[in-house]
Amino acid sequence: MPTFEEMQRLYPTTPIGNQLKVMSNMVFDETFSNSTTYRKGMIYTCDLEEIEEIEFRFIKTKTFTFGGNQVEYWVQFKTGINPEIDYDTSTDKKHRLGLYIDVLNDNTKEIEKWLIVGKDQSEFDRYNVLKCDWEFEWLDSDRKYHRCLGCILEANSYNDGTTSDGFTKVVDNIATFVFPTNRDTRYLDYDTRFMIADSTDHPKTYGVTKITDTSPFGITKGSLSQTLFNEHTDLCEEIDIGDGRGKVMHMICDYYTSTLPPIVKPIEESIIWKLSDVSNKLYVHGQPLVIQAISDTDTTVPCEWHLFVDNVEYTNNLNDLNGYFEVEIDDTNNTFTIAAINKVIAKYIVKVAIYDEQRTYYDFAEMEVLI
Amino acid sequence: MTFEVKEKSPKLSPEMQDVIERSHRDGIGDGYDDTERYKYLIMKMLTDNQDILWTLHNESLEKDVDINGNLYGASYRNVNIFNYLKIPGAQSEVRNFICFEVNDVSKYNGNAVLLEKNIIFRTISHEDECITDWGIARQDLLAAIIKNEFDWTNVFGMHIEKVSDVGRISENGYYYREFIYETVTPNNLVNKAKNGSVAYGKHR
Repeated sequence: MPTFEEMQRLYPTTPIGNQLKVMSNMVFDETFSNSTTYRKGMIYTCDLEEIEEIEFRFIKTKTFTFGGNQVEYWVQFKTGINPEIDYDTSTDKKHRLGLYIDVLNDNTKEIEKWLIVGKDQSEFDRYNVLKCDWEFEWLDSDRKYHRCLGCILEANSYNDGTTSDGFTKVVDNIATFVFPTNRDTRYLDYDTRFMIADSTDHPKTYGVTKITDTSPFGITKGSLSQTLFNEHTDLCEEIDIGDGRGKVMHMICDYYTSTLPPIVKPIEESIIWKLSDVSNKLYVHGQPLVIQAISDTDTTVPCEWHLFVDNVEYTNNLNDLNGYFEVEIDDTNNTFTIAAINKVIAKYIVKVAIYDEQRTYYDFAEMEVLI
Repeated sequence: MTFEVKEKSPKLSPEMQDVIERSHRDGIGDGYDDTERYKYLIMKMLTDNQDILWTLHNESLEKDVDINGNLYGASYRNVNIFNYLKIPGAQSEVRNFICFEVNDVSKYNGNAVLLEKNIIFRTISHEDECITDWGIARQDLLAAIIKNEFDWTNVFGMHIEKVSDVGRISENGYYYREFIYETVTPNNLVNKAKNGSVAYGKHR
């Protein structure tokens, strides 16, 4: 007596190919773990937040050679599992790649983070993954600290890594970076500098010269051109920058360009009041800075402004600042406007802070007075 | 309540601090750096001119105006107006610029006491920003405002005379107008040359 599957093939309601596909999918899923390439590991969002444990096969594509870049591997999930679609929480549903996945290295027994950078659509879809081998750290133009796990690839250079105009000879090497498009890398700008070096005596720094973020969606990649290490402004040492990791090695370019500390705010979910983004430079006789307090609830309690100059509070004696600053507080729109009007206060640090109703958390904006 | 002046970087000797402060003085002083004095006066005239600031068309700096409706000129320094001829950094947004430079070119007719001095202006506009409602291209409009202010001015002491005024194109979508003023000035004599037959070296 023919089986149900055999009857389906004899009297098909759908094309034979589709029938075969269904059956091969069943076989594929049933035998999924019967392979040395089988792994089970955590999959993360582009912001490195855990999603869930997932089964996959981790397949070698080609052999690494010393003369080339690190090679891509394939990650293959069970049929019908498409992480870029299944875990897509975006409103535009562009199905972005750029998810991280934990891969257990069978030989070293270490868990490595790999980045999903592409998708090879075939009978059984395979995702291209690259091993994350560098943690990029940088400050944006507002001195906000960002950190992202990504990959460095070599780029072919047409010269020996230096260039000379007959007067000076400067470094001119190039490299390529790959990381997911996330809340940190979304605001990456040209000329942002990264320090990518093993030697802390002669660190190498690179500036972003090319950025693409649409091939494919979810991956930000681009070119880096070597820049000069500046020992006066670039940080390359073990310090605690206040990001909760304690005293660890940091490599951050342009760290000391201002006397302002970088903004390394922990992510606080329960903020009622927070301040709008504002420049960290307050020019004497320049444009006043307007800071807006934004509440995420319809609170009736007015926000409470606090003003510090070099850590000395002037909230209750603003008259002392006459002749140096012009301050205007608008309680209707919850804005705080400050202008510097005296060259004497150059290099002073102004801090505008705000408390929430419980006075448990406050947001603040710091700016340096410049002439 | 008074605020103390904070130490500036780099650390300078009192003598050089005086030189820089005198160079940045509005009136005529003595013992200043001639080039820096010219640059300071030019930068001041450019950032004080509202026509220039509005024509530079920097949207983020046009959000706030003072009570008279004027823009804040100090914010344009090293953003749209540079006192050297190169625009630093890779440009990823359309912007308009003014660059200028001051050069001592040669002795005047072989006379060591007098110098020929050049002031070079470049008014630069991206091709997307060239067209204005006034029918004049933006780089030409910026140039016209500057020329209106600087032609034959004696703000530096001697009258300055325009010797060249050409429109140029750059390879990457920017149009610019470069115009050069020439003047004759004393060869940095103030407070340096002394009486007598000894030449104009610095006496100690």
